[in-house]
Amino acid sequence: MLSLLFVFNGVLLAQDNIPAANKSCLTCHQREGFSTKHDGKEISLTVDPAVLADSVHKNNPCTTCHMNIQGFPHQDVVYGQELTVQVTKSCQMCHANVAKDYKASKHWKATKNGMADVSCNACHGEHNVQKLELTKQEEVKMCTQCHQGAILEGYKQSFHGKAVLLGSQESASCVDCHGAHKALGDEVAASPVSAKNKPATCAKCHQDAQANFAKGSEHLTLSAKDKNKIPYYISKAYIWLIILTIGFMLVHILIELFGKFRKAKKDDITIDVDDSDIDLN
Amino acid sequence: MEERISFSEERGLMFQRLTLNQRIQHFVNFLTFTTCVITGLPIKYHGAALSAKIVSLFGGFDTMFYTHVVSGILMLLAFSYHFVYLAAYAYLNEPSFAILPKWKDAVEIVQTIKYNLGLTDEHPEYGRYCYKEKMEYLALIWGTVVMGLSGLMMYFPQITVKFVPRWVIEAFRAAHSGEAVLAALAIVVWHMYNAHLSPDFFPMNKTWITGKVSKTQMEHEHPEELREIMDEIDYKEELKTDVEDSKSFKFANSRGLIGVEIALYAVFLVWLLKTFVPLGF
Ligand code: HEM
Repeated sequence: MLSLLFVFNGVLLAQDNIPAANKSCLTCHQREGFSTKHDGKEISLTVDPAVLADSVHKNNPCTTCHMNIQGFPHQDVVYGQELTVQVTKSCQMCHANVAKDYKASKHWKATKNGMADVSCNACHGEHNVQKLELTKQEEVKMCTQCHQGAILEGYKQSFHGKAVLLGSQESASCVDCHGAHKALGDEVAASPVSAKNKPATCAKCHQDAQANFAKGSEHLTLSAKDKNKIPYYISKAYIWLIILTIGFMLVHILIELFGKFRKAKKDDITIDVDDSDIDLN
Repeated sequence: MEERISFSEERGLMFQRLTLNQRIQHFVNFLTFTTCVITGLPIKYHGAALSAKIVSLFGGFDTMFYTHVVSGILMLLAFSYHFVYLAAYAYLNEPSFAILPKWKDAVEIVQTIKYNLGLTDEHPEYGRYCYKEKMEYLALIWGTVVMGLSGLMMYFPQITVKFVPRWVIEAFRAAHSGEAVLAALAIVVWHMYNAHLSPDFFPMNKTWITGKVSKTQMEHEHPEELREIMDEIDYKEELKTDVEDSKSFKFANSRGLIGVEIALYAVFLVWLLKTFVPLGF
């Protein structure tokens, strides 16, 4: 029976770049529709060998990430958020440097407490782990899956946001200011957007940005409720300036056209300037 | 030097209105302003489909934005040159204040409107510049100062914050954004009417290219100035004054054209009110 399985393996798994150990896992796990029930939820157990073969981790045994699964039948299987935390912990075995930053971040805290899944895999992919080479636009899209509301609105109204949303490759995206793994929140001194570090963060693009430059809110929305109302009132004043000025122009033109329409009956040139006093000869 | 008064078989006596220098200034301003509008409005309306098209026309946001800033700076150079020109003019000739608004202009606005409403038969006799031209010139000065100042403040934020806090940049940014729409609409409405769609000049007043205005046009547009010129010169006898301008005013009496234009500007007025009046209050 066992030998029969291995023959099967050879036929089905022509992908020779998959480590031998993984082939036995895939015997079951590549089957479509392979699933289990946990807490009343259907959980898929299928892994596409092609996706795996494409990942930067293609040479890792499955058990580098799924560390606790060492035999068959599997013992102590975990699912959902527990699995997420477990796998994330295994990442640091190799990626120790980045993991140090990540573990200090709010993202790890949220993941650990089950508030949200902002694990390594959430951004980098699961079985298709890739080096993230996102464009600024893709990056903003990823962050704004969770970060919406006033923060997103303010970014969209800022020059950085408008530029990036229109395809700029130079303007600042989320990560350019906030960093990727060290998402700390601006109240933490070590954060790139803390009051202390902001000047240096701005200076990555804006040469010799001083403290004054970094003072002020980036994610600003024009609103009367904002602590800074002046830009809001200026933009409102312009609306009325436009209505009044352009409105006056249009009405003036319309009156002139009505006048010309009425006069157009006459054959000669319309304006009756009394030019008898212009001395032409 | 261009002749102050020349003669054309088709158009009769021709008066020099714009020197070559002035025409070049107008042309540079026309090009740079138009470029600023085309490359600036997509930033303001970054969600609009047309904005994305304009961005791709420039091959990406960053190129479009550099084009914006470069043409903005060229516009400011031409603007600075204009003041050098004015100073040189004042030094070489007499300073001229003919462009400044006077009480006469207020009287003439009222009288022009009355005339077009059929309340009086007497059309005001405009001088060198009528109120329409003065409004336009002064709006250009105001607009360029606002756009230039705010544009430079935004493009050199590090320098700006040496003098003012950052929210001031945000306030000027709101002004840049509002003034851009005001300026673009003023050109589309006021300038396009006065230079192109006015039935007196339709399809175009060519003075911006030739620099010349016919005697017939002068009688019509600047009778007071014409009288002053004729009083001044001492070679009146040599001038052929009996040839009428056969090229101008071709559509001045076309009720078809005037009717279409009335419809056009009425629609424009409705659009203006619908777009800008904040009914949501
Ligand atoms: C008549 C000329 C100009 C027009 C019509 C114009 C129009 C615009 C518009 C519509 C925007 C988008 C504003 C927004 O909603 O965010 C913009 C942005 C900008 N313009 Fe201009 N502009 C003009 C001249 C200039 C000049 C002279 C400069 C500077 C040298 C300049 C520099 C900028 C900068 C730096 C931005 C980006 C600021 C931001 O959006 O946050 N512009 N312009």
